[in-house]
Amino acid sequence: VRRLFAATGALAVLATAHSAGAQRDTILTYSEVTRSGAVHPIEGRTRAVDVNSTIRIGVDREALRRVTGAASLPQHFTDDVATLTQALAGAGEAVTAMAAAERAYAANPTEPNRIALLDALSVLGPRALAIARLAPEGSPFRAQLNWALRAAGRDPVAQYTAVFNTAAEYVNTLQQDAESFAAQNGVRVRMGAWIVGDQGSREVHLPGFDTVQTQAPNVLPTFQILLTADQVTQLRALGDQARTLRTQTGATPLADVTDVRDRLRAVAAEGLQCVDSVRGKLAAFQAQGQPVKEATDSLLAAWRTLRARYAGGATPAADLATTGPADAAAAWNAAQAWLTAVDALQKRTATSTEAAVNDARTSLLGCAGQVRTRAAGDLAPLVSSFASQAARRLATESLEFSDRVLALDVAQVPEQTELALVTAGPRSPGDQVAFRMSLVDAHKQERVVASQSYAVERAEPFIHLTVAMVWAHRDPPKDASGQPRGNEWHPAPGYSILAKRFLGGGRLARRYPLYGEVLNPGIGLNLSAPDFNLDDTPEFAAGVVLSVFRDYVQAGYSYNFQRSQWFPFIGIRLPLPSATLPVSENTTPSS
Amino acid sequence: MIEVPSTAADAAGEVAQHLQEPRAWLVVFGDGALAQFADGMAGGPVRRVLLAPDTDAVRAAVASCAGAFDARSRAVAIHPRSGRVVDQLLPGEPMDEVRLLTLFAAMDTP
Repeated sequence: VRRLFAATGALAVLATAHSAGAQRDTILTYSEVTRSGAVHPIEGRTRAVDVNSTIRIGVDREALRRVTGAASLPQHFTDDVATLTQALAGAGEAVTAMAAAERAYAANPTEPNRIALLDALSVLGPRALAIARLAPEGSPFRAQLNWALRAAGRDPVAQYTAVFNTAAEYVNTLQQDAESFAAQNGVRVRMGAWIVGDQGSREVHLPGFDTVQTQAPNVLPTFQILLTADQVTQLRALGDQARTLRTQTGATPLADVTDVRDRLRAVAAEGLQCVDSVRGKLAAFQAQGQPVKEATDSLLAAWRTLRARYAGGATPAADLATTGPADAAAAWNAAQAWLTAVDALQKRTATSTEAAVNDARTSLLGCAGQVRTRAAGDLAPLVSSFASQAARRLATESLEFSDRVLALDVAQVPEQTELALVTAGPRSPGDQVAFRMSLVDAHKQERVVASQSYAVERAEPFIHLTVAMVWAHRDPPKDASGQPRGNEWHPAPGYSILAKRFLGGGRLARRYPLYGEVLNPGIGLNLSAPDFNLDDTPEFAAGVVLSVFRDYVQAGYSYNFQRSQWFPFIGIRLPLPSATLPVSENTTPSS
Repeated sequence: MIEVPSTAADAAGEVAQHLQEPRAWLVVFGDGALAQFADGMAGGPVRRVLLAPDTDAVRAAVASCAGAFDARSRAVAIHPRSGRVVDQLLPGEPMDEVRLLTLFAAMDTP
């Protein structure tokens, strides 16, 4: 009986499903099951899945066989193992129960005891029949069974025990045959899954393919309407900053920080004009100006690309996702090269007394200041944000299987598995989930036959809260002399409760990850505490707000209840104009 | 335990009477060697082997009690609960321990 238990346990990795599916071109097919149970087929245009979903992966074993060639175990091997596994599961307990029932009936042959004995036997009969069907006349397994039954004698308990023990030994033989086959001829299949984030990659569990442990369920909240402790702190800090800004006459509301497109467009429009104008003056430097001239041409080309693509602000999100990273990086690199060349030229010509050279150098340095400001203030945050995403994508190409990923024969590969992201451990929007299936031959050579990665995003509707500096547009109060106090833009601390991924936003987020990563629109309620009359007593205002670009840019229309006044506003998630874009998703409360 | 009806004349009646008993019966038609082989594996309190004369009357008696079966059968397995034929051994079928086990296992199957 103990042997039966051990054999049954050893069979766990060999349990397989039957029948091969219809022929398809791809080995792996994916679908996403959300927490609400909705199934989203993952198609060619799908680039992202929801951060709380389960990814089902179908394996076309026929397609896999075609890829591996003929070097795999025959199908009946799999069927036999599956049948034996099922027949042996719990057989030990059944034999023990039957022996007890037989003793009870022998000692006291009453009708209840007879029924109990028949019940006990009825558990064993079907198992023995299933095993016997795998032992055709003349087969070695049949001979082993006959020998064991002869040795068992007349006792049904002994007979069934003999059958099950022989079957368990037969399974071990099959297992050894499989190992031997794989070692000599076959190829093994390995499939793994990883979560790839800023901190590197982490192997996650795919049932049937590995022994990686799942982790405690961790669902990213989908309904956050209370301020976290950090957000309370941010709100207080914004209040202090707003008060400070109100005291600065002429304070402006971050006029040049609107959105990603406008950043790129502003670089193109203003930076280009300056660089273009100084190009004509480079002739004054003669040969010394050649490096700067070449760098200028490169810079103009890069920035003209920005102007062509982003002028007018009509670039679709998809194009922004496709071209934005490269354009921003090219513009950044060209700017850095140009600034380096200008610095070198400035040093070489610092002692020049020629008026034309000095005039050109003055113009050049003035333009360099503008370019440096644009590069540091507009391009650097974008490049940093895009580079973070690119690093996550590139990391998927260097993932390696650990020894926890099983090496399976093709016949042993499950037809379906799934990755439950909620039990896959820590993850953040913007991470990647990557899958890879490889063939490993007898010489340990690995060949990737299927791989795929998807961005992990907030693709299902959710509500969250974000803190922002609100810049209310209103007529400033006047002092005793009738002069306006401050300008028409009034800063105030506030926060927004935003609904996201509604009205088809989920589909866009799945197709265009940067829709969620960069554009990330939302609509909701904004609450703020302005001080329109500048009496240092906060007023209360509430209104509708629209949010884009991960809440860095918000705009809406609000109502000041103390002043009974409607006003438009824009909201900036950045507490200060000089702050850089953090690369982490703001929708997850930090703790 | 092997059971053998006393006389050929009364065999049909005796077979019918035997089959009323709530046991798992393997009825072997007139093949003493087969009956001995089967009896060698028919242990326990509920399994019985009945060596019945291979006559039309006996086969009719078995059919009337246990339902239809192939007239050429060398042996039929009768379920202890339903009293019906659940398996049968046909001419030419190989007879070994595994085949006999399947006959008994069929009688043990619900």
